[in-house]
Order: sequence, then structure tokens, then C-alpha cells
Amino acid sequence: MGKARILIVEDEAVVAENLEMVITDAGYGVVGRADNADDAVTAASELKPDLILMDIVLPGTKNGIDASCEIKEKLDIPVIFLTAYSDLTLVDRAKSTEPYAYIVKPFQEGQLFASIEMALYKSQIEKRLKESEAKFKDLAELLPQTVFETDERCNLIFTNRAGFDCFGYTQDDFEGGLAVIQMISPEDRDRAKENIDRVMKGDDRGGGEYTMQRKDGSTFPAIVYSTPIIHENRPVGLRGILADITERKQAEALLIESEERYRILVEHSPLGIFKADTRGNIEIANPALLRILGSPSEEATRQVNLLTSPLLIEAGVSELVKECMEKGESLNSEFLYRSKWKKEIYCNLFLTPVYDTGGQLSGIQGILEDITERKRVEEALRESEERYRRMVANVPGMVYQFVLHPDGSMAFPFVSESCRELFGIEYNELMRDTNALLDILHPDDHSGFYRSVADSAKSLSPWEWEGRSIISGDERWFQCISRPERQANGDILWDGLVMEITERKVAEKRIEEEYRRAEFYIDLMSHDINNASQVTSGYLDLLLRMPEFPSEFRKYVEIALNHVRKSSNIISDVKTLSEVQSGEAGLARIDIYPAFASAVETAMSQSRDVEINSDITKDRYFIRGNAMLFSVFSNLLNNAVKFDRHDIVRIDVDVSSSDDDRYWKLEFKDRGRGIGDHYKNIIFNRLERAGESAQGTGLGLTIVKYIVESYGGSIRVEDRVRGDRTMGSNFIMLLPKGG
Amino acid sequence: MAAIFIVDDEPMLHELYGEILEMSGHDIVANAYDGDEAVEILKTMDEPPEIVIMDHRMPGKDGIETTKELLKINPGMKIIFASADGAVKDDALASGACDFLAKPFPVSDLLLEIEELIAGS
Repeated sequence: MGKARILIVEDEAVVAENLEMVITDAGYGVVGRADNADDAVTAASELKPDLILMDIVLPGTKNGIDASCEIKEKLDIPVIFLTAYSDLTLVDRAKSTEPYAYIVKPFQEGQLFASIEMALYKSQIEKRLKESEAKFKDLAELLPQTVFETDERCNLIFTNRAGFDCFGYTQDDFEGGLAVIQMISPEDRDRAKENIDRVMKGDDRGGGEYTMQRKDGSTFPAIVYSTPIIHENRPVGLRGILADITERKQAEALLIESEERYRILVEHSPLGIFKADTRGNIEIANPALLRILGSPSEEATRQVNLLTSPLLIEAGVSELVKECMEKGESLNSEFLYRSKWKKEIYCNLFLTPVYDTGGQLSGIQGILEDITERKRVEEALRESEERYRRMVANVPGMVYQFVLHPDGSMAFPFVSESCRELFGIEYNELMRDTNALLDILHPDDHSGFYRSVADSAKSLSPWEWEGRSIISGDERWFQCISRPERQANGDILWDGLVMEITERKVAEKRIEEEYRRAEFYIDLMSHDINNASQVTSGYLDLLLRMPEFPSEFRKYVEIALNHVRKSSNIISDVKTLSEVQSGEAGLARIDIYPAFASAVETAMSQSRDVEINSDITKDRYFIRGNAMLFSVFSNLLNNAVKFDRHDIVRIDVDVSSSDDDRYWKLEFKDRGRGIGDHYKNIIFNRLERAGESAQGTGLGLTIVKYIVESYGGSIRVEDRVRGDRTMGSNFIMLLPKGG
Repeated sequence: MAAIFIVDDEPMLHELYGEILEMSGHDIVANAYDGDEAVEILKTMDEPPEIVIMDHRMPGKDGIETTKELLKINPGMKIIFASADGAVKDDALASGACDFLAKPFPVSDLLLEIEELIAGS
């Protein structure tokens, strides 16, 4: 500290002069002198001296003590009283101004300087103390926690603003006296009292949690730290701090709740969850883990060591556990693992290293997912995929998916490898570029292709298309069969198969050519040969009509004529057969009778005595057929006449409904020479057995069979009298009823 | 006795018909070898024939078409259709022919038919 500045208040000028001289000599500075109380107060407040030497007895109404009182009220300046011995009685009063010293005049220099130094020192300390007190008081006031002091009976003697705010008490309440105990919720009071006693004895530093009670009776949780106030080795009260822990309690409650939630999650998780220490000992295992492993209990599971179990080492789990702990990284891997409890499982294992609060590795935590079922499904899927892949690869043709986008563009999302074989295009090239295939379409089939695709897309009906492509200069035929399906995005997707049908097409073409050739031959026969026959038979007729023609030769001409007619009948039969086979004649509901009647007429017109008995009448028997029905009846009747050697040919024709009511059953019973069992089938199959001898019945029965079958009916022959073929035949025909 | 016009592309049949009919006292008044010729000939004839024997399959117009055209020129003629193709019988009768004979037919059938037609007219 620099040179102390001193104000001297002394009414006796000599004394004052002397005093100033002494002080100045001693190195202090005298900032001023006053000789009365008022001046002293004014000087003190103007000059702000570090110390005032104040004579008690001053002229005027006010003495030094009054001046000191006034100064003390405004300023914090230490005062040393100077007093004559006779004035000592005044000293008592002076004490109230807390003077730093009294010096009795006449004073000794040593005593004076000592007093000055002491006063200056004390003043400085006091000042610091006051500052420090103010600081701590401010701090206490500013603290959000309640700060308090009590006396030894636990009455509150101090609390900060937070204390008032927290408990709702006022300064008036405080001054009226507040016992700490009444600020504690009744249920906690006994416990609090015990703790307070312990704190007072110095056994406990507190930190107890209590339910506190506000003035309005509401409560809140708080934690209280307190320490005894010791005075002269004896506790005289408590000093402490109290914090509202409502929020902490809420957080704790949340934490507990959250822990409970996690506990439930772990308990009910379908995933196996476990924790193990660094030595591989399992510490925790949830129920799902036991279930997955087939373990009987958590206890049993805990006996498995992750690092040393042979089954786990074999499965590679131990290795992963080690790696996880060494690297300090989360790892996962899939294992096929056979547990100690004979359960074979495919599992996906996630491992995470666990650290303690000090950052030290404390073990690992694991999650085990049972993926056995998934693996099984995957395996089945893989097998099935493989099967389909093989199937698609081996199908005799190209399997494809074809898509038509709403904008009209097209693509092949999938084509099988046969693409190369069929079109000479690599399958991946076609999937990339649809034009690779569209470009090799035969120009004549372009429009048909696009039209049929558009039609199928519109009607969503199966797409069936046959067309040509030009592949390395050759024309090849293909057939596409596929089914369209509209996709959510508006695409039309066809799944289908394309096969090469070039050979079939070539064969079809050949068949068509041959059919035309056959037609041509038939045409040739029916026209040119018939014309020729007409000429031949005409001239033979002419011969017979000539009166001069020798009668003994007539029979030769008649035989020749007969055979000319026969040849023309053969031509007519072939023509009929060809018409039946080509399916040119359509079917309609017809009456059996007219065709039958005219066939009967034809049969009767032959130069034999013929008797035909029949149930067939007009407007009664309808079938689905056509005009060829006449050929059927006339063939059957003419044969019957031809092979009957009796003088009178007799034929019975019966008609009845078939057992199932769907057919008219017609039976033509003759008295001819009968048909051997071996020939009963052959006679109807002249065409299929071309080249074989067929007993000279010509094409007649073959034609009958074809016509009847073209109606959906059937024909067979039996002996008229069972077991005796010589009694004649029974031709049995079933013709579908025509409504 | 009738005046007969033969339309057929087969010359041998012209000869045969000629022999038969003339033997029976009929007159062959004209011969045509296809439909167009038949039409042309009929147009130039002063005295139209009473009976036409008409083939079906000929070069150019067929018998049915020719029958229609001839009847258009002279509806009074009787036309006997003679064809190897029995299937055209209905169409032939519908076109105006009086009768249909399927080749080969007996000479007697043709003569009988002609007799009936003459008697009918």
C-alpha cells in the first residue's frame, strides 16, 4: 500500500501542527485538517482519506464522536480517537462507532504509529471481508438451489431468494421464525430429525433425499446437503443447500420405465439376445435364445462358453467372438450350428463389443436370428429356380416375356437361351434390343404381326401367331403362343413360347399340294373319264339298238356296258369320299326319310325281285347330317341286294332309339351270304388297308363309314342270326339325333 | 321329231349324239363347242332349236351360265343338262334346264327324255 493519506481533526492548533509534523516525518501524508465536527465530515467526504485522527472534544455542538458517527454512516473510513485522559468517560459512547483505537494525549509517537498501522491494516482486512461477504451473499442469492442456515434448534436463520421462491414463504414468515422441520413433509420428519442429529455431530455430510413441503402444503422431492456450523468447537447450527429434484425424479421414472420396456423387449423378442464377458462366459440369455438353441434353461445356457465350446468352435462362432473383441467392432455372420441340445439351426449372429464406463472392454453382446426356415425356403426357391431354369433351357423353343409399353414401344424382358438356336441372336442382345428380332421379320408378315399383338393387347386374349423370319437368307416359320396380362403400370406383358414350325409348314404345304393333286385327279376322272365312258357306253347302247346286231353277241356288249357303268360308279364313290373327307359338306337337321325312300327306290329298280320292310316314316326321324345320307342308304341296300342269292331279295330295316337316347339306331338286315368275322372290320376300312384284298365290295362301305362318322355316328356289322353267318348280316348304324 | 342344238366341248360326244338322234329321226340343227360359240350361233339362227343338249364344263362359260344366256335369247327352248358332275344338278335345274342327265347315261334315257319334252310341248 502506498503512502497513507490522513485527515487530522483537532481544535487545538498547536496540537494539530505537532501531530502533522510527526506524521509527515513518519512518511504519512496529511491530506487536510479540520477543527470542528462539521468541517471534519465535509473534509472526509471530499478528501476520502485513508484514516482520520479525530479529537473527541471539539468546539461547537458536535464533538468528534458525532462526526465519526456521521462519517461512518456515509463512508467506510477508519477513525482513531485522540482524547485527553480526562475525557475517557466519553470513550464508552465512542465505542458504538467502532473506532479502531484510542490514543490518550499526550501521546507517544510509537504508540501513535502502531495504532495508525494497526487501524489501516484492520480497515483493509475489514474491507476485504465485507467484499467477500457481499460476494458470497450475492452468490447465495443467485444460486437456483435453496441455501440455508439454521441455529442449533434448527430454526431457519438464513435462506436465499431461491429458498423463499421454492417454499413460498415471505420475509415476514421468516422473521416470525421458521423451523426447518415444518418444511419437511410429515412422513419424512422422523427420518430428517435423526439425520439432522447425525449431521450436527459431524457423522454425516447429508445428501439425504426428502419430500419437502411448501407453505401451501404441496410437496416436492429434494436432496439436502448440510454441514454443521461449528463455533468454539461446538455445533451451533446447520448450513446447507437443498435442490429440487422433481425433474431428476421424473427422469429416473422415465429411465425405469424405459428399462422396463427394454426388459420386456428382450424377454419377448423373437431374436435370441445374450451378453457374455471377455472370457466368453454367457451372463444373460433371453427366452428366445433358449428356444432357438433348444436349451432347457437360462442356467444351462450359461454353462456354454462362447470361446471354448467345441460345437461353437466347429461352427466358427468362437472365431467371430474373438475377432469382435479383438477388433472392437460389431460383426455379423451366418452359421450352420448344431446346438448342444441337438438342435440344428441356421442362424445369423450379430456381435457388438461392450465397454464399461471406464472404456474398458467388458464383454460382448449378441443377437441371434434363427434363419433356418428362411434358409430352407431359400434353398427350396433355389431348387425350384434351378428346375425352371433347366426347363426353360430345355423346352424345344424359346421361352420369352414380351412387353408392350403404353407408349407403344416393345421389349423382351426375358428370353431363354434357345434364342441363339432359333434366330441366331444372342439372348442378351435381344433383351437389350427388341429390333434385333423385329428386323428379321418377313416383310409380308410385318403388318400381321403388329396387328395381332395389338389385338391381343386390346382383348387380353391369348396371342397366337404364325409367321416368317428371314435368317441368313432362309425363310423360317415360327409359331408364338402366349398369354397377355395387364400390369399395374399399364404395360401388357406376355409370357409365352415360340417354336420353329418350318418343317410343319413345309409338310402342310406338301399336303396341300397333294390334296390339290388328288382333287385334280378326281376332277379328271369325273369329267374326262365320264365323258369317255359316255362315248363308250353310248356306242355300245347304239350297237344294241341296231336291229341287225347278232343276238348271240348281245350279252358280250351288255357285260361291257355294265362294266363301263361300274367304272363310273367307282368314280362317283371316290368323289363322294373325297368330299366327306375334306369336310366340305356341312351338317344340318335333316329328316332321314327322303334319303331312305330314294335309296329304296334305287334298290328296287334293279332287275330283281326286292322286298324291303321298314319302320322308317316321314317327319319322325331327324338327325344331324347332309345329302350324303342317300349314299349311305343306297350303298347298304345295293350291297344287300347284290349278295342275296334268293329268288326274292328280302331286306328288313328297323329303327329305334339308342339306350342313351342320343342316337337313332338303324339296322339293315339282309339274307346274303354273310361276312366272315375276320372281314367284319376290314370291309369298312378300304382306304386304310389300300392294297389289301377287300372282297370286292368296292369303296361303298368305306364311304358309308366316313359319312356316318362325319355325322358323329358309328357303324358296325354283326351276323343277322348270332353265330350263323350264312343267315346274312345285320349292319347296325347309330346316327346322332338332330333335336 | 325335234330340232336339236348340241353344246359340248367333246367332239366325240357330238358324233355320238348325232348318230343316236339322227337314228331316232331327230335333226341336229347346230353344234357348238363352248358357251360363247353357242350364244353366237343361236343369235344367227333363223329357226331356233326346240331342244338343247348342254354340257357343263367347257372352256370359258360353263353350262349353267350358257343356259341362262340362251334362255334369255329364246326362252322357249328346252334344255337338257348332261354333265359328269352330279353336284351341279340343282344349280342346273335352277338356271332353267328341264332335266339333268349324269354322264355316263344310257342312250335310252336321253331318247326317252326328248320324247317326253316333245310330247309335253
